[in-house]
Amino acid sequence: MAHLLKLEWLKVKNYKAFWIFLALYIVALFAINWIAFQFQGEVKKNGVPVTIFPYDFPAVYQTISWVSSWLLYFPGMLMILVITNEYNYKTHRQNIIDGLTRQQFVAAKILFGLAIAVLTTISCFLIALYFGSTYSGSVSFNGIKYIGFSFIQTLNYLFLAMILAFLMRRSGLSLAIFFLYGLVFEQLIGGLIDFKVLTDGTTRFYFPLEASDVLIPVTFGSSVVYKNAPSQTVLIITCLIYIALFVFLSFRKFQTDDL
Amino acid sequence: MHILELNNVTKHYKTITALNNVSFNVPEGSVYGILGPNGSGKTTLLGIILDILKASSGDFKLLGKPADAEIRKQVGTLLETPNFYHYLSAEKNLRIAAHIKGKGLNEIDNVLEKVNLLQRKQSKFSSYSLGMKQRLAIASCLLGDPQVLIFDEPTNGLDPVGIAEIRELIKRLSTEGKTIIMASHLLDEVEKVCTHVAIIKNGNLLTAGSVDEVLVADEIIEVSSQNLTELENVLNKMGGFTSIKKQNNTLQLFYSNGDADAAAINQYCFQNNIALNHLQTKKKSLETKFLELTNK
Repeated sequence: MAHLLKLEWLKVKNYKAFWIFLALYIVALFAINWIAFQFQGEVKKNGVPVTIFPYDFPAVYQTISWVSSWLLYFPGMLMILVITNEYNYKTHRQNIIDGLTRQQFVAAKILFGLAIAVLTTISCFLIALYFGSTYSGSVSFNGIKYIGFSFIQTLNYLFLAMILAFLMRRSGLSLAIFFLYGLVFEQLIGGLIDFKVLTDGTTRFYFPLEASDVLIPVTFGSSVVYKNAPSQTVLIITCLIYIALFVFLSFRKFQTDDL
Repeated sequence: MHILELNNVTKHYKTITALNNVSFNVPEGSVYGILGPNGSGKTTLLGIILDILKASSGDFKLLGKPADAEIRKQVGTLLETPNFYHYLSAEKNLRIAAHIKGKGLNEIDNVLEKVNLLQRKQSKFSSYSLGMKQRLAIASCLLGDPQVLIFDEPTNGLDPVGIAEIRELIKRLSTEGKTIIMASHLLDEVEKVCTHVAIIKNGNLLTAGSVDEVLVADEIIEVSSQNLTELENVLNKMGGFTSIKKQNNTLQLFYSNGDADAAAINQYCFQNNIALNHLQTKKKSLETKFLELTNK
């Protein structure tokens, strides 16, 4: 495992575009939360009697996780980039020729995804600690489970991006499908099924990205937005099934393909 | 021991058969050329050996075993095009290859030196010319001092000096006892560096064996005399040629390698009361031979 992680490290270590992208993402994570924090400050200052983004413990963990989740497309892009780069440069072939097994090649990308997910999750945790302690003047780990949910959600996004990259092989197409599916088509298809076909209003919660989105519900009015949503346990299991499925399909695809 | 054994390897793409029941063995220590026109299936064949492509049927053994990743680590390979990370330097790229092979990390400067790229080792791969990329790919093959090397069109994109250098390198590697499998569409290249050759066309193996056997330079003796019919009768009595053909006012006698003896013909005809007014020995070029083989 260390061997494969080192391999991915050698590939990105001197990849300037990668580090700029990653740095901007981490900065953006802080920035988007800071914007939300300022917004909440304005709301309070103007005496509006609702709290949109609670920053006291334990709710701050949910707030930060929810706000941060809007940026998950970016590590997803990074995932697509590093995989389609290999196809572009035909280095996916060369790695195998040099003596990597096909499983190892995919495993290395999974480890890469895990590393990015850990980095994202740690960033969210630190951001939550910062704003939570600034706001309430103390520190508490109550409600930290949302940081864990955030990890699951990140893996869900990253591994969907991964399977798309393995299936499409080309960056443009993978990115287009990733964004369009996540931002439009999942809602569209889910909505059509829920309100036109089955009309029980719960099917969309079981869609790949939505399942992890609902796990970290919006901090205001979620009882309206996520009415009839399944329990946390069911959502976690759904997410884990999707994660396992994306991983399994990636292995299968790369294992059986002509490279 | 055979370094590579192919047993009825077949590969179908959607509508075409890229390889059709190809079988041959590569003996240890040989420089084995796989010769064929563009699109004949050479790269497909090597791709299958290296687990880049999946054979539709048939099997093969590399170094006496069904090939796996561990075996591939013992083989230096350049397949089709030089495949490297564009944003990394030559040295960093070779580091990755060495990391995967699990050997050769301390040989990077050494192999770059061998292909004259040491001065440019810090330059990004994307800044390299086609010839330099090709040479880097060959350097990568040499990491870990493998006993078996597979080169697919190794002189592709090189200038004449570069081509000569790579051919020298291949010959040198061969004298070091390494087995080299080389795909090429250049007959001349195969003739110059290979000990063995397999000729492939449209996925079919036409012939395989040592270069001397396969690419025999046929000799042709042209004779003529006053009376061609009589001459033909006499020559038929004499025999020794593989075929005889009448062309214009001459008879062409075809001999396989080394059998032609113009003096003996002259003497025999004279003893049989025929005076030759034309006697000429010609070599059929390898080029013609190759075209003949691949046009069958």
